[in-house]
Amino acid sequence: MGVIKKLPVYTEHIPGGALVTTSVNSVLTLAQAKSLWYLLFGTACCAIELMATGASRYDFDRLGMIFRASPRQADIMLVAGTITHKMAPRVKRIYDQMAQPRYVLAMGGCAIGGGPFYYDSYSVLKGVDKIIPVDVFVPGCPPRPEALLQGCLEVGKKIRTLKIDEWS
Amino acid sequence: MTKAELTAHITAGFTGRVQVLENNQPEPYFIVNPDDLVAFARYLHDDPALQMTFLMNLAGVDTGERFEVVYSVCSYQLKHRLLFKIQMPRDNAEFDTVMQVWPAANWYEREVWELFGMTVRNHPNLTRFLLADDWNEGFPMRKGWTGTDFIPLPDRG
Amino acid sequence: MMELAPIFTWIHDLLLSLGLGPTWTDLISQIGLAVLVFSLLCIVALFLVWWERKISAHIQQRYGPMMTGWHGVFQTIMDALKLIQKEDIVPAVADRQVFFWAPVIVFTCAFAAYIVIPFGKGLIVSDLNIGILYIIAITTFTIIGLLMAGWGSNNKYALLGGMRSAAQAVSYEVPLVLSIMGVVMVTGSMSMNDIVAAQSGWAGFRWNVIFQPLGFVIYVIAATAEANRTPFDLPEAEQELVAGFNIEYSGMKFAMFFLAEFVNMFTVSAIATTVFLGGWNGPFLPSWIWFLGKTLAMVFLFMLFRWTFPRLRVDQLMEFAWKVLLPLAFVNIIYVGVMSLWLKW
Repeated sequence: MGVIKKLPVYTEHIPGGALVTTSVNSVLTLAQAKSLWYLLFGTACCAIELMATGASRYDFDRLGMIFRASPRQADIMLVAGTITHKMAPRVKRIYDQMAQPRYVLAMGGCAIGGGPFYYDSYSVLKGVDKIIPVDVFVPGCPPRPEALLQGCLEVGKKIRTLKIDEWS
Repeated sequence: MTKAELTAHITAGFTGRVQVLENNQPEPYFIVNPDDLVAFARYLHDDPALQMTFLMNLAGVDTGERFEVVYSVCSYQLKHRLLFKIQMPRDNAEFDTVMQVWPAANWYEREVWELFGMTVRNHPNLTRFLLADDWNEGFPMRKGWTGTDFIPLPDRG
Repeated sequence: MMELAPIFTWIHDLLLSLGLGPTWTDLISQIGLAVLVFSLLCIVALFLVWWERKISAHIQQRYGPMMTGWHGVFQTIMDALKLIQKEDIVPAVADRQVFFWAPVIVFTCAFAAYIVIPFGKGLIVSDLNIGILYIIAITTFTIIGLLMAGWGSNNKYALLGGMRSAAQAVSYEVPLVLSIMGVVMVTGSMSMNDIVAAQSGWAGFRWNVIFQPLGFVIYVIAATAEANRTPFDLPEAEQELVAGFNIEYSGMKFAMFFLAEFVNMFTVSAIATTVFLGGWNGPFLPSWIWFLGKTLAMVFLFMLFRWTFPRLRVDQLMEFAWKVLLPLAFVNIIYVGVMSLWLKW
């Protein structure tokens, strides 16, 4: 019974009983949020912070996130680094190859809106959300690992609010 | 060799065709004619007192009135370095490749061609490789260039 | 004490007493056993995935999954649920039939080996008198599945990964079989129950690992290669370098490859336990606890290998199999033969 009392989010307590009911949607979205496998996609300095976040001190695996190199097996693409006009079609192509449901986290200033290269740059794409839909933006240049971990948790929170027919 | 010795040696060895630019840096700075470029490069590379076998940098410059290409070379053996440049008019910028002297110049010259539009004679592979595949907006490093995704810094005061 | 074999005999007698006749009773009991073993293996695979993540994390001085249940015990369930929801992508240029059947073959062959593994005293689904031979033959089928995955994806990296893994598996099959042959020579029978029974008594001093340590070492190395584990995990580690036969698989098909790998690891550990470490023999505790403990110890060893050793290059791998392990396996056979004649083992 104690366990049931600790699960308020997605249970309805049947009065007088120890039955736990939940909706399929909330279980499925919970599973997605707790097991986001991220695609190794680092282009620039933010990639170094991504690697640092995946390493021992700040650990991605605590959140259940392991890295997969193939886009077909990844759930979330952490766009870490500057995206140039030359790289942009490849980013779109990799995003298209990901299996749905898929999510994108734009990490660092360059992926959000060009970052320090917003002015006077002929080659930098000013924000990766010009080519792919982004779910969470994590600002910073580069963002600290704690910020990136918070960003991933925010993606989890966003996923828990989705309904099955809203996945894209 | 020190800066003064280098200056003296080169002005003696390449008389009349090289000018010295005064500067406050530890390296001497020369100006050469674009026609003498390959000869000068070979002289720098082969002369036993100079032995400049390492091309450190090759950069294009747009000063607004003319194009320049700046070469920065150094010697591992004798541990000295210098800079030299060539100047060309903006509307007809052509220069020879120095690849036969320093093979490293390959990609630098391609970059200069791609971003400025200066033609490089005798280059084996003058193709685009830095800009996007479907780039059709001109030469971005020229002064006064603007493009579709270019946002200039607003206040230059 | 708590032997499980009487439970199964009781169920069998119950079915017989229902008056269905021997064929129907056998059919029902075999299907029931198959379902039971399958579910147990799924649970084992779930546990092993979690365990691997925790072991790898603690070796690397970090915590593994922590957020799903106590210390992340439900993490694998979440992974499985997520993988079920993923879109199933088949590349347009892929060979559809081959692409579809590859994970099925790999998954099935991984599970089919458990017919002859003795989980405890009297707990074996079917004690074939060619038990060991059957296991070796079935685990070799997995190679066909990997080749199909590499070919069916129509992707040059997948093909390279598939060919490399097939070459590796075939090469390490030979020392593996030879090391097991040493034990079969001494036991005189290929049946798993006989092999375990030959190691009983004498407080553990009849375990085959004591008499054939070289055979055990060769087996462990060859089994690591057969299970595609580091340091021999070129087929799957290439994924970390974006290659490998898995590259085009997503969703449930990928989950099948993933789980089959862990079931394979459990299989080779179970064979090591049965053949070299005395099977379910052991004092005081029930036999199935001994089996589970020894097998999990071997699994732990394999996981330690993965997170300690760097990976071998493909040419180093092949050279090692053919130039080092195979001669050593022959030496082992000669040693066992000489010892059998001289010491009358």
